[in-house]
Amino acid sequence: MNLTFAQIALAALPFLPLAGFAVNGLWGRRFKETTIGIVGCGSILLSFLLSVFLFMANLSGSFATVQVRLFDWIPVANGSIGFSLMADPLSLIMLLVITGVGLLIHLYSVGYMHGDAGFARFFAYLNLFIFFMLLLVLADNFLLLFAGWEGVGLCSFLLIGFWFTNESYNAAAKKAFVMNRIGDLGFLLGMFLIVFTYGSLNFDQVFTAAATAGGANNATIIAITLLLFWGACGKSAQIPLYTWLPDAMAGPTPVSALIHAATMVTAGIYLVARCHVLFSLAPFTLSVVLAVGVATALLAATIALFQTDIKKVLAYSTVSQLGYMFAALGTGAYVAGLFHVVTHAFFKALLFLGAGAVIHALHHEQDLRNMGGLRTELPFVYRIFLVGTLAISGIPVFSGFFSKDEILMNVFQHHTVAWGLLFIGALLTTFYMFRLLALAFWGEKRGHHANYVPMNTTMKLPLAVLAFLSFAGGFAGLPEFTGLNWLHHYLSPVFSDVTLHNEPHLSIGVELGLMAFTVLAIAGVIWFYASRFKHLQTRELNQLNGELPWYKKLPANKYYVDEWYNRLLVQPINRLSDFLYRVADTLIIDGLVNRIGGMVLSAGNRARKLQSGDIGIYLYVMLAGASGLFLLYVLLGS
Amino acid sequence: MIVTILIVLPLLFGLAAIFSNGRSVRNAALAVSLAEFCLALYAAYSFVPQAGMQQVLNLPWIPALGIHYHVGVDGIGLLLILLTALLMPFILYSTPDDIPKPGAYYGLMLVMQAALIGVFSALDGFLFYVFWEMALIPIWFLCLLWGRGNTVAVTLKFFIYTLFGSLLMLVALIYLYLQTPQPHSFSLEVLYAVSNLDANVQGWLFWAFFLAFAIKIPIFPFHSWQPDTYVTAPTQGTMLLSGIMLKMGIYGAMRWLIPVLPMGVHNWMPVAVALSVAGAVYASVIALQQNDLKRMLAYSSMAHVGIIGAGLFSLTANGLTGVVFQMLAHGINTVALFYVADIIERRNNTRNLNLLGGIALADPRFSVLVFVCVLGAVAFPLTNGFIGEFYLLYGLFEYNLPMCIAGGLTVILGAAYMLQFFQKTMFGNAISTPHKPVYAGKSELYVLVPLTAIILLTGIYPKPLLNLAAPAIEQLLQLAQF
Amino acid sequence: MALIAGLVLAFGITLADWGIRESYFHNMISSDSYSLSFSALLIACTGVSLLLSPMYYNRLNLPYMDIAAMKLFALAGGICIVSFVNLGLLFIGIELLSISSFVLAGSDKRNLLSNEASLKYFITGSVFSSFLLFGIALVYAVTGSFDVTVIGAFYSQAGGNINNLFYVGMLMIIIALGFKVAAAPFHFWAPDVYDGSPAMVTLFLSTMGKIAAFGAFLRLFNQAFLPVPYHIGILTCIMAVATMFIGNLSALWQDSYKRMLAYSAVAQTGYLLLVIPASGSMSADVLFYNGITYIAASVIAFSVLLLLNQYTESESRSQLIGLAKQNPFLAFAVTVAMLSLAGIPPTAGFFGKYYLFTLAAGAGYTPAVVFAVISSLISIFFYFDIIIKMYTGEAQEQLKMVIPPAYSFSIFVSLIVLILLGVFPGILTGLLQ
Repeated sequence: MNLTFAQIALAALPFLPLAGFAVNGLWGRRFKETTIGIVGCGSILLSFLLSVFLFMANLSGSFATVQVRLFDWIPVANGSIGFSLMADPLSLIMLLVITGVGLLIHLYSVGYMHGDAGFARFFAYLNLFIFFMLLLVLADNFLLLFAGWEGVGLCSFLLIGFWFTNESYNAAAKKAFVMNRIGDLGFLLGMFLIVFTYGSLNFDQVFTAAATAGGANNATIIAITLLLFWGACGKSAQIPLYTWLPDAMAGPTPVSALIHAATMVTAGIYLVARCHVLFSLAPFTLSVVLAVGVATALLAATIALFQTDIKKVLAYSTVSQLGYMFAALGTGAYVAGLFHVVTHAFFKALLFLGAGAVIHALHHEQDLRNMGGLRTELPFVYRIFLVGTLAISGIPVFSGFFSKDEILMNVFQHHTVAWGLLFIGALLTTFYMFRLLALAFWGEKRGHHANYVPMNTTMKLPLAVLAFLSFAGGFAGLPEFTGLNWLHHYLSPVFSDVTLHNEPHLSIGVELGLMAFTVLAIAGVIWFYASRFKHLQTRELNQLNGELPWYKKLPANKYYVDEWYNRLLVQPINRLSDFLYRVADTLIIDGLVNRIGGMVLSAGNRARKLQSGDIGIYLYVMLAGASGLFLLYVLLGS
Repeated sequence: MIVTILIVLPLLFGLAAIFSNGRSVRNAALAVSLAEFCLALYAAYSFVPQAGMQQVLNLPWIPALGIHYHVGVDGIGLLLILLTALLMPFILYSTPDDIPKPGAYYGLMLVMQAALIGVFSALDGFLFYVFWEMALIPIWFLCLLWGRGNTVAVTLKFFIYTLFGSLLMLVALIYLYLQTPQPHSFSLEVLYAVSNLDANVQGWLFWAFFLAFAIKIPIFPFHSWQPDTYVTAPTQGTMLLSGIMLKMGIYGAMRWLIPVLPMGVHNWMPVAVALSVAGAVYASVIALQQNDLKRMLAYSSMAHVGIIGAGLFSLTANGLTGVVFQMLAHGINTVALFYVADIIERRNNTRNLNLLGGIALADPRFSVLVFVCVLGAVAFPLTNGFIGEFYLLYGLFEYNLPMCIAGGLTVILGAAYMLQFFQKTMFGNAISTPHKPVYAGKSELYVLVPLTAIILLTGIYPKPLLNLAAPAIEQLLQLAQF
Repeated sequence: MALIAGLVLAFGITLADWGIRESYFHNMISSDSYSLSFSALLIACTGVSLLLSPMYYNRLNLPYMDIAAMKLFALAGGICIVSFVNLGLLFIGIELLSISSFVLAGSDKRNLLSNEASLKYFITGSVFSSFLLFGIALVYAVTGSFDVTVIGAFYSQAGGNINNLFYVGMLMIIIALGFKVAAAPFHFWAPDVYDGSPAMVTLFLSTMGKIAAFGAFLRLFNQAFLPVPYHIGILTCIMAVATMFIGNLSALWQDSYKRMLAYSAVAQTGYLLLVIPASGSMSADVLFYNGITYIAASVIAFSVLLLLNQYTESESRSQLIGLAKQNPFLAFAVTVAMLSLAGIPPTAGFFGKYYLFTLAAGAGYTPAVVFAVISSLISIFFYFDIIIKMYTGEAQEQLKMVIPPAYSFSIFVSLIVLILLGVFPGILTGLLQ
């Protein structure tokens, strides 16, 4: 087997972080923090360099896709599922995001986690996460993708519960894993249906078979895509499986940035994009995706309006932004969805790390009510945060503007009502982000933190880089009419078979008009908030401390969804468990068995008493028995 | 020949050990079990998957009645023998040094091993039955004499309950034997060739066999002996029971039920699958709220074997592949987990999950090893549990979608209770232990490290094991046609 | 000693006669492989009984020699009935056996229970002797002969066209012999007699007496009543199943070890009774095999009882608690005996049961086999209770047991028989063909 250099690079890519995990995991406790940091970041850096190399090679046209089969994993149907990796433009984009943003967050963590007893463990977990994430995006078949898929869930579990002496963190970790598992069951069933239908789990074979079989909107393909989407809902925190993500904020902030904003939660988007051949054949599913995406985007945005925990606001914002991505996918605009994945990775990582910087500086204070006025105290963080806020709000030339605009444009073209809702969502986004900014940085100081923990360079550098990317990242996908949408162009080979875009394109005029409309509306919101933030803030702070009116109480309490889940699912299952154990198992099933035993014993007691010792009775019974035998004989004989 | 050595060697040493006394018996027993493992490895090495039954030895035992000492292995039997031979050294090694009456203890263990290997290699119905019953006596004594708690009542129930099934199987075997052409025979091939039974009779016989196997496995609702027995038995006894012995039931169904009574199986398989799946969900739900660590593991084990049972009676190639692989995976994982439970209990003097905690602080290395076992148990990809579960659920999917979904629920529930177990014991603050005991000392590592390594290795590269069993499974499926 | 020597000689003679087929006394009695093998078994059985006797009777202060003589009379009766050709001899043999048994049951003159046992046995026994006589008379009335070979030929030639009185006679004989072997519902005498008699006698009656009666029972069927009419077969099966259940169920609650063994003996009768409906080619083998197994297990079980009697008045099962610590060998032997009686492989008892079940199922009585299986589950309760008692717990009082060589020898030989026949059951099969 002659391997090209690209193949070797591909094969090495995921295993470098794995090696980092092994080294830090096995010997980390004996290392100094610096060593751990070098191992942890170094392995990601190498992966990043390899990713860049592959990306460059791909750009320069030395290969369209590169594939390497490490070994046969398990035979399924008539073929064999290989432990094999594949990189095409789609994977490569994800690769760059994962290793790039991952590297920055690793660097940041060196400073953020400084002095933590689990420093080595933290980096081991992070590296393991990157390994599984790379496995996820590089897999060339569903099964290996699933391995990565479950693997990132596992790392998410480990990292949410990183401070494992805290019981509530553990509960959040378990909730995340179990909810992901609920989604994974859908994925698993989807895989079964795929093998069953197409006889393979390899992407190539499945997609070719599906494309040749055609038959859009037939029941099988709808079932397959719905099941896969169900899995994606679990991982990417969409309705109804989103409640784990806000709880996942229990993990250290870099984890929230890396896993619960930039990478893992976008795995669902990646999955749908990867399976675009299937999804495009199932317009019904796409409309479901659109509906779920829009609903999630709005629902999470309204909740985010009332959160007081700095990370919770960002968490709901993430859920909401993921909704935008799915909405894009739902209209068949895969590239737009992925574009938002990329820009979101930049600005949301930035926001989380910025929030982390605040939390770090304030000695682990996360409550917005105890912040305020930090602009002067933490000027660097403020500037960073401002960039992120502008980016996510969709202020022109910031990255979020381009990606969100592309999504809105596509949705508008497809479904006006959905567009309207997403438009409102965009306004809400702007509102809650500026509310966050104002509560934390503007106004007067409310907390009683005197000495702020200073940041070191390893924390500042990643923030600076991400701020730059949040600002400039959007230029990878300039609006269509400019003809300069590089990302669209780059990804077009992957999505070349998407035939959905047969509708006429919006004219430049409409497009520009919409754009201007959106931007103006957003600017209006900002102007509105900024001009009277003091009043709004005082009112809100008073309300938050006191009783809220019902229409605010509802979203502030997350629409009681957790409580409903608890009441409708968790508690009944626990009660059922108790019932099954105490009644069904102990009392009925085992009771029945014991009862049979008891019956035998009591029958024994009765049988024993037949032996009365009275010879007269004996003789009587024996002779009666003899006549009985004769009687029986006669009866049987007749 | 090598199979016979595998049976006779531990039998002789075991019997000798029962009547001996003294501490050196431990080392001798370990040496024998290691020799067994080497022999089993050699048998696997010289095994040719495509060549059907191998290492066959056929000697007349009671020639007048057509009863033979007839042993041999195919891929399925070989893998189970390999599992037995692999686990036995660990089980023996994990026994506390200060166990009372070591002679009898290790002797019974070795006799048990002989009986188990006998079950997995017997090609004569009568011989199979004899080994089947023979395995019951040592484990009964082990549970009775070295167990804790109300051993008398629990073990008696266990014994009578399992014997009930076995005796029904004996009647069915006798009935089948009498249906064979003159001179009657118990030989496997002859029984496979019996074709003069109508569906009704096959149904009756199916239930006689099925009950025997269902009780042993155990399949819902014939399981109620199991949690109590697992809890009161000495840990090593539980390892034997859950790790190897319940595979007797599954194996028995594969060898003596499905190919012998294809029509009966075909008619009743929906019931068998439904019971298995129902039991798996049922046990998973119960496991969620168990505070007794061992009882929780007992129900978890029952949930896993429920899925195995479902895969078995789905009679699909994938399902059966899953059955074979999961038997191995479950054997390894459950032995490791019960050992973990034992270690935890010995350090803390409690099994109550609510009283435990903070072990990861005391011994992080231990918690990592336990975590790998947990991953295996929750069918995490790249562990052995996933491979088995994947095939099983896919087999079930091919058979019937609702069953597959119900079975799939156990994957979710399994994650819930296993993680709960892990968090309650490993995480949190140490409540019950003011001092920080070492959980994984040298001797514990000798057991846990190889087992966890196997969990990962067979999950990442299961192909050799799958290849070993594939032809045998194919043959089984052919025999199941009628 | 002389007695033992005599018995050994007799045993030797029976073995020496192997392969010779002759009849004596005007065809009253014949020596064939059936009679020889059963005779040898009965002789061995009596021999063990005599071997174990001295210690027992010395303690009770009973005339050992008188009792030995009675046992020999009984043995003579037993040999007669396993070798008979003429129904007359069957009757005589049974009477010989019975009357000696009555005396034996009451041999502990000073013990009220023993006297009561003897009386009960005598009264019920004489009633059922009349059944035997009446049955023989009816068979003679139809066939015109007392010779079983002649009767057999007559019956098989008639092929169903036979006077109904023949069947009535057959049923009468079944009832009488059922009484002798203690089959339900004619078993009532057995628990009381077995319990009331001195333990030594109980051993003798429940082994020698029972196997002799079974030997006669099967011999009669094999020679005269083949093929067994289906209805009669079902009736015997019902008797068999009832016996098993009554024996096993009643044994559950017995605190007295001796009484438990008495009921166990009743239950074992039930299993053995399955050979009767399945009379024919293999049945003799099956009975013989089970006879040996049963005797060997009983010898071990009763030896412990006899030893316990030596040290304590109590016959409670709890006397066995902790026996394994005091005497591991004895405990092991009893364990094997109990496993064998319960029919667990790889002991001889398992194979015996298997053999019986196959025979019965082969003759078409599968439901009876299922019942037999279920009843044997019940027996686990009390057989295993003995094992559990021996291996767990601490003995209340430390009995410093000295086991006389005769006991060690008998137990050891029985143990060997149980294990050897369990592992190589083939050495006995086909012996009686």
